[in-house]
This record gives sequence, structure tokens and C-alpha cells, in this order.
Amino acid sequence: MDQKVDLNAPHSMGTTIIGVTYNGGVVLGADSRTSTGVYVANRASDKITQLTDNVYVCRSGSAADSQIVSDYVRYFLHQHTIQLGRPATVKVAANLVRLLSYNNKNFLETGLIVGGWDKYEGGQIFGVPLGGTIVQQPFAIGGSGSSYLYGFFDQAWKEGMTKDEAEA
Amino acid sequence: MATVGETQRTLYPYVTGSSVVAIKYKDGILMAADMGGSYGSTLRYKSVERIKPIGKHSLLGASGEISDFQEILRYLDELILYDNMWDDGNSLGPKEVHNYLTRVMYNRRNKFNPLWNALVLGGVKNGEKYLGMVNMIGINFEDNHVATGLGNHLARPILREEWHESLTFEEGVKLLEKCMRVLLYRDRSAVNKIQISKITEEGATLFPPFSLKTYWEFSAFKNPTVGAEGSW
Repeated sequence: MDQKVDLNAPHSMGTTIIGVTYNGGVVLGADSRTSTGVYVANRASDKITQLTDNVYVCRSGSAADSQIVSDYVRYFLHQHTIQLGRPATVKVAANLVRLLSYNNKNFLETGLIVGGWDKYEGGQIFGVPLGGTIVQQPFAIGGSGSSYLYGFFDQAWKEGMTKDEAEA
Repeated sequence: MATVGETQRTLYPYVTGSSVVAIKYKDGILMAADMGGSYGSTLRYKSVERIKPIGKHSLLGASGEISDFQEILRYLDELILYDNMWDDGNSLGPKEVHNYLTRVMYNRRNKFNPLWNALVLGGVKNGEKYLGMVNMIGINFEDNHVATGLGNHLARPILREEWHESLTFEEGVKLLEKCMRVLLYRDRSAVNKIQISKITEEGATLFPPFSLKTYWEFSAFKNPTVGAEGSW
């Protein structure tokens, strides 16, 4: 056996995640592989996680970090929705993610794409990369697999697509 | 990220903006920056606004870590809010905002947890123009023309030669475009989507982004295959 398998390597996701706005809302996509070094720890992971009825997040980077951030944000958003009396907006959800990412930037290694729909601004996508920058974009890609997609999206993306075009 | 006991240290930036260049001109301050956000060596975000108006009298431009810049904008929001709540007819001018930023940056540096930015703060109040810079280690100064990052090496020599007290708006924009073009040619992390903004006694204006024309008509590029058998 030439390669040593480091079972204590952090479960990193080796991921590709995508979020796209279209003329009715947003479409989110992700692959399903979680790897620990060279070993595929989970080949059926669900990297799109629900935060509220109308906001979801795509997770990349460290599996543990992204899961814990999602859990905290879901908890805060739940309380916020009760207090507010109406569904939370995508911007609020994204900013909660940003706050956790930024204030704990020394400890976390996770890049997230927050996507959802609210009645004020319609479909929105926010990228929250490492470091806790928040950036609203018409489409966002992330994860280590996204490097291959930059060129494709630069060429193929256009405003005002239908849902089928966005999914394709 | 290094953690020594309870202390934290910021070691490196993630999403960064490249240089900002700013000059005083006849009516106020002109500031230019490109709209790129780099993630290491890859140009990840191409619509990052790195110049923002602050209050009634100032413009803030930033290079370095974008998340820290966004946090600084929130601190300044709070500062301006409290200032407005006094409702006393006075408002924070650029000199005061620059001083506030200097204190924030220097104190963070002393705690080994810097905000990884180089900031350019310009503005006009009561007819007096002000242009200053402060960076992540707390170095700050005031001048007629300032730049951050590579701009210090590439743009300021041009400005030292060509800046003068009574630049008109058009002359100022042309001068900034000249500096940004050099940065575009010679700075790896620059992107050809420039935002220029001005601030005068009347207020701040952010102009829509535009791209610079570049020159590539070198004779060596014409007929490049001459003399090289088999190339196309």
C-alpha cells in the first residue's frame, strides 16, 4: 500500500455548489460527495440545507463547520420569524450567515451560497465565501470544483432565464 | 489562523480588492478603483463596489480584505447615525472620519488582529478639501494625492509629475484614467471595470462603471508566425 489514509483528516467536501436566479426565483444545485483526504466518506450527502420555508443554503468547505453554521442560522432565523411575524427575508438570512462567518473567521473554513425567495425582492442569491464577505450576485458558484465552471458561466449566463434554462 | 491560548491573530486575507487612487482637484476629491474581488490569484468577483460615500462629506475607498471593509462600513454607519442623532446642525467631516478610522486600525493592530485593509478617505467640508490614507498597521497621512497597494509604486510617480492645484474635473478624470490604465497593465489583480467617484461641497457622486481602452498594437504581435516554420 503506497498511500497512507489519514483518518483524522478533516471531512472536507471537495464540492461544487451553484445558485442561479431566474425570472421566477432561484435554482440551487450541488454534488453529493464528501471526502476525507482520498477516501469518499459519504457519496450521498445533501449539501443543500434548508434554513426556512423560503431560504436554503448550499454548503462547501469543512462539512462540520458548514453544518454548525447552518444549524445556528436556522435557529436564529426561527426566532426572528416568530418575533417578526412574517417570513424572514433572504437578505437577513444571508447576513446572519455572514455574521457567523466573519466573527469566527479564524476558526471556520466554509464557503456558503444562500439562495431564496421573498415577496419584497423576489429571488436572490448571496455568496458568503471564506472570510465572511457578503456579495449579492445573479448567480454564484462555489466549492473546490467550481474552478472549472467560471469560464462556462461567464459565457453561458444570461439575465431573465426560464426555470428550465436555469436548471440546464 | 493561529490561536495562542485565548488570543487570536488574523494571518491572511481571503477576498481582496486591488489599488485605490485618489486626487484633490479644483472642486473636491476624485477617487478611482476597479471592481474586482480576487480570491488568491483568481479573479472571483467582478462587481465589488470598493468606494462608498460616508455621511454627507466623505468618500471611503478600500483595498485589501473585502469582509473587513464591509465591517468598517458598518462601524461607520453607526458613527454617522450617532452623529445625526445629535441633530445639532453639525456633521462629521472627512478629517474626523479619517481620525476615527486611524484609531480603529491602529488599535486592532496593537491587538495583533488587524483589519486587513488600506483605506483612502477623501471629502470636502466648508470648502476645505481633505484626502488621507490609513492602512492595516495604522500608518496614516494626508496628501494631495494618495494611492494604496501597487498604486503607490505605479500611480503616485505619475501624480507627482502631473498633479497641480487647479485640476478641472475633466483633467482629473483623465489623470486618474492614466493611472488606472498603468495599474491595469502592470497589476496582476486589476480588472478592466473601473468606478470613478467624486465628492464636492454638494455631495458625493458614484459614476457608473466603465472600461479602459488598452493598447496592444505592438509590431512584434503582427505577423507573429514569420520565420517560425510550422506555426500558425
